[in-house]
This record gives sequence, C-alpha cells and structure tokens, in this order.
Amino acid sequence: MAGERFAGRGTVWSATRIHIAVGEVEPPYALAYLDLDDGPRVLVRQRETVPAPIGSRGRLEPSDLPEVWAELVEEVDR
Amino acid sequence: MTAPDKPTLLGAATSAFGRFPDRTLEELAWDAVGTALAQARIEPGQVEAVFVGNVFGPAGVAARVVRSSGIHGVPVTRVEAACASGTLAAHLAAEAVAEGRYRYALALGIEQMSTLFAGAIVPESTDAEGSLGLALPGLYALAAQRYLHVHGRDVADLAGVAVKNRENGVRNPLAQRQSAVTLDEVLASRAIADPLTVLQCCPVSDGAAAAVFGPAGSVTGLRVEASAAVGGAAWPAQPDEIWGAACVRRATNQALAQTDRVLADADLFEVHDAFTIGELMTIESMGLCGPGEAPLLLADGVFHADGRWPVNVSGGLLSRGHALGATGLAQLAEAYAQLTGQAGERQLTNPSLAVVETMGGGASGLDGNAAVVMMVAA
Repeated sequence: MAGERFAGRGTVWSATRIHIAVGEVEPPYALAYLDLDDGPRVLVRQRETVPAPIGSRGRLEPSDLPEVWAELVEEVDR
Repeated sequence: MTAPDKPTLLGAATSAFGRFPDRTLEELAWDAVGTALAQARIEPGQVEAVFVGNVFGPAGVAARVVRSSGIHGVPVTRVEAACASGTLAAHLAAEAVAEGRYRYALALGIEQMSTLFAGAIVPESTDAEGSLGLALPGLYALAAQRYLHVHGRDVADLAGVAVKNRENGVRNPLAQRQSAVTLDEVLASRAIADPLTVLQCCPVSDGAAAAVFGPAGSVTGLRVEASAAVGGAAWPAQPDEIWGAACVRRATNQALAQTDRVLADADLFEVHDAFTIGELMTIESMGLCGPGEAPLLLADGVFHADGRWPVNVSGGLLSRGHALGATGLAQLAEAYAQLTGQAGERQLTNPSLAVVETMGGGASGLDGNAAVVMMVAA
C-alpha cells in the first residue's frame, strides 16, 4: 500500500443525516460520499448537520473531532 | 452448482422471530429443526452434515445448538456472511448434497440479537464507516438518497414497501410485527437516517430457521432449481450504481445460468428488505424490472400478495424481523410453505416457483460481503 495526495475538492454523490447514536458518535450528524475531482469516492463527515445536496460542490477541511480526519464544507462555485 | 443433479429441499421451517432474551438458542433452533426434519420425514440421526449460519454468537454456539438437536458425530460448519449467513448455509448444504457428499444435509440459521444490541448493529471500528458513525441504516440511507435523486422519486415511494410488507406480516403468526401501518405512519415515524424512518427499518430479532436437503428426485419436497453464492467486489465501480446492486446482480445472473427458468416465471420472491430501499434495489438489480421502475410497479400492486409477482408475502424482514443468521433460512421456509400449500392465511394460489435472495454487507470498499440467490420449484 502507498499513500496518495488529493486536492480535497469534489462533488457530493449522496448525503444523509444520522439521527441515532452509532458507537461513540452522538447524533445528529451528516455524512456524505464525496467524489473527489482527482481521486476516489470518500465517505466524509459534514461540518453542518444538514445533508449537502447531491451534485453540490464541497471541500475537505481538517477536523477537531476525534476519529474524524476531515470535514466536508460546502463550496459555492463562483 | 457443479453437479448435474439438482438436490431436493425436503423441509424448511422457522421458529417465531422476536425479542426473546429469556429463550435459549437451543430452544429456538429446535422449533425450526424439529419441524424441518418432520417435514423431510427423517430422523436427526440421518443428518450427515450441518451448516450453521450465525453472525454474533459466541465460539462454540453451532456445536451447542446442534448437540441439543440430537445430531451427533457429523461435521458442523459455521458460516458467516452478515445478513446472508443463513442463505449461504443453505447454499452450502444444497451444494454438498448435489455433489453427492452427503445424502441429507441440514442448514440451520440461529441468532440472538436482543441480548447484544438495543438498536442498530454497531459497525466495525476499523472501517471508515465505523469510525465516522455510519451503521447499516446510514449506508442504506445514502443509497436511498442517491436512488431518489437519480430516478426523481419521493420518500413515499420507499415507504410504500413498508406498508405492503407490514400488511403481509399481519398474516404471518411467526413475525415479530403483525400489525399493519399506514403510509402516514411510516413517514411520520422516528427519523433514523434521512430518508429512512424507523418503520422503514427491520427490527433486530432473535430466531432460528432450518432447511433439510436431500438427493435429487426425492418423492416429496421441492426441486432446488438454482443456487448461487457470490462474494463482494470493489465499490464504487462502473457502472456507477448504489451500494449492493452489483452484488445482487452477480448472484442472480449466476443462479439464472443454472436453469431454463426466468425470473418472470416466479410466483413469489422473498428478498432482503432490511430497509425499504433494499427491496426496491434488489428487485431492480435482479432484473425483474428496469432501473427506477420498481416504485411504479409497487404502486400498481404488482408486488402485493395478490399481484403478478408477490414480493415478501411473508411480511419480509420489515415484519418478521431480522435474526441475521436465521433470516435467509426463514425466507427459504416461506418459499417451502407457499410451494407446499402450507402458508395458512397468506397462501398464494398454486405457486410453483419461488426465488429467495439475501445480500449481506457492511465491509468497507465492497459492494456487499456476499449475496445468495436460490430458486426452488414444486
């Protein structure tokens, strides 16, 4: 296995808001599949609890949450 | 299956499904095994091999349950394929008989969930899904959101599956839920993972189910027309489909390659409706209709008990409940009951071909952990 670097921008393939506690993760929180522009589809936690619209643009930013390596932030194309 | 002779399903039965923290798996298993052996008209001592589907039981659970069934000294193999564990056990037993390794083989599914989980199954923390808090309802919810978006459908289309299956479950005395629900009730029930509400999710259950397989050409029983089991492949992949679809299609195509029968010939389908979206996805992935068409056929009544292709006339997992390792064999038990005219109040009119499908999943990066499709004919 080898590491790869990606720019961290992409298009939302699907997203949902979870209303139940799962393991140590407390609800509500939103998760999305993000299709990276230069990489694969990744499962990410959203910073907001409202699910991002499918097809919307987003970028990944570092997260302070435990076990969460990055959070999806919605991006408005200009 | 590699052998030319198709084995016979000699009996298949299920215990009640429900939350039975005070009942032992041995008791639940005997409810199923005793009935299945009686249907097959064989004694426990005639069983030459046992395949046990179980996910969460402790080490040795298979040996303890088989011990109390009066079966001794024969190989007992425990198999795990998430939700498809019981169906995989049935497939292996049928295959072993078809290959002539045993005259009679027992497939047994057992699970006790009530003592382990209060709600959803906690995902494996070494997967990204687990560390981020994506349990199976969330995984199916992401598929559902994508499905509704791509096909321009509405959450009410999903909820219709629950209304139909709960209506069927009213006529299943072994189901965990035996009451009907309205569309409004399904939509207004507690949110689990958007767009899935709690009435669109199967309850987790305790239960057991069993099936006995014997040689080709047996006087009684049903012909195992086809049986196929597949493992997972990489997901996402091309074509870009929702999770699980490719895995179900792979198993279906392998099963259909074993028989001259086509899906449209079948008189009933017992498919994996752990969540409402699962039933629609499965129907379409099997090829019974085109992508996005299942909600339209559902609305037309095609999948209802009195429709052309009844789907989950047992009530499905949404009514029966989901005792993981037992589920696939309970689905097969419904096929057996219907094709032998023993389905009581929910008996269909002279069905002769049944299709059973179960998909198990959750491992990161795969389109499923496994899928099994079996076709049985009167």
